[in-house]
Amino acid sequence: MAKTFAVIGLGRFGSQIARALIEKGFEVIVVDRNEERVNEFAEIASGAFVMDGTDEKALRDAGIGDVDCAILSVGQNIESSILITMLLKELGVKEIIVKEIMPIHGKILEKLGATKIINPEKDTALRLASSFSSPRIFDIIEVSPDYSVMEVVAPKNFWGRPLRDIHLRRDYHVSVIAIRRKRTFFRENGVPDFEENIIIAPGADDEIEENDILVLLGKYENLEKVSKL
Amino acid sequence: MKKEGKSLEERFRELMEEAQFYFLSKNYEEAEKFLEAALKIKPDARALYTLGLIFEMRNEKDKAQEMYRHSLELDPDFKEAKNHLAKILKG
Repeated sequence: MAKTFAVIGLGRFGSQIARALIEKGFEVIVVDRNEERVNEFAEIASGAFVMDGTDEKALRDAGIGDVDCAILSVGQNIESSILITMLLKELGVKEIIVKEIMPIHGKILEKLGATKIINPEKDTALRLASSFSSPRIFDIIEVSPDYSVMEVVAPKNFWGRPLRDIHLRRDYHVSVIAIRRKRTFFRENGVPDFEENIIIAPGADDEIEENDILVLLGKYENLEKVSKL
Repeated sequence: MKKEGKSLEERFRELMEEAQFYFLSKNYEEAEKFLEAALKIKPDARALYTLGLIFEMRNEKDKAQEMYRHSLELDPDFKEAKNHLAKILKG
């Protein structure tokens, strides 16, 4: 039987993990105190509950005790995080993954039985450092020690040119794996707005538009060069 | 005086129309210029909001946030500005 998950805390981190797991076809139960956040999962999660994670009865009723793995990320609230870890342990959840808020917190969590402590902030220090150094970088994901995927706003001198003309592969050993493109439009009430579409595996003839975000795969040092163009 | 006021209003409308045209044609740098020119004539919630959209698209979130906030100061019921500001604050 496929592994089942509970994601407690639907901040940016929690909701992305939950979404990714759901996309992979796993059964995921989500929990948050914020109704709006939970509602985003109402149709896609196998259970979506508005509740306080520190409420033992509510956790039990939501079926959290039956999942194989619980992922806990409750923002900056150390107290809740510790309390929920303890409750999860008591409910018999075998695998408890907790997002660490500060190093001492991680140590306490381990003692309480968390099976894995993660610190995305620390793990992505490289990503943060890069995005601070250049606002043009939206995100960097390390795919191996050598290779990363970087999302970067298309440099100005790429605008209006087809991919074949900019020779990213030849000159920088970097591949464009996707383009995130904005589509601007007027709403029915006449207010302008934009939405984003993604062009997967763009062809050589695809032209780059102003404010496109290029999703690039390559070695970090080469990606960084492109981000500075 | 009255006549001058009217012509400024007309000028403002023209600048906004130009800005929206460029915005829709994805020529954001031009759109930005026209919006800034329009805002020199008078503060306007929609002009500020549209500038916010342009900054948001460029990942200049601080600037975008500022624009949406200004826009909401002028028009607290501006739904789209609220939505975009919420989206940015959510990260």
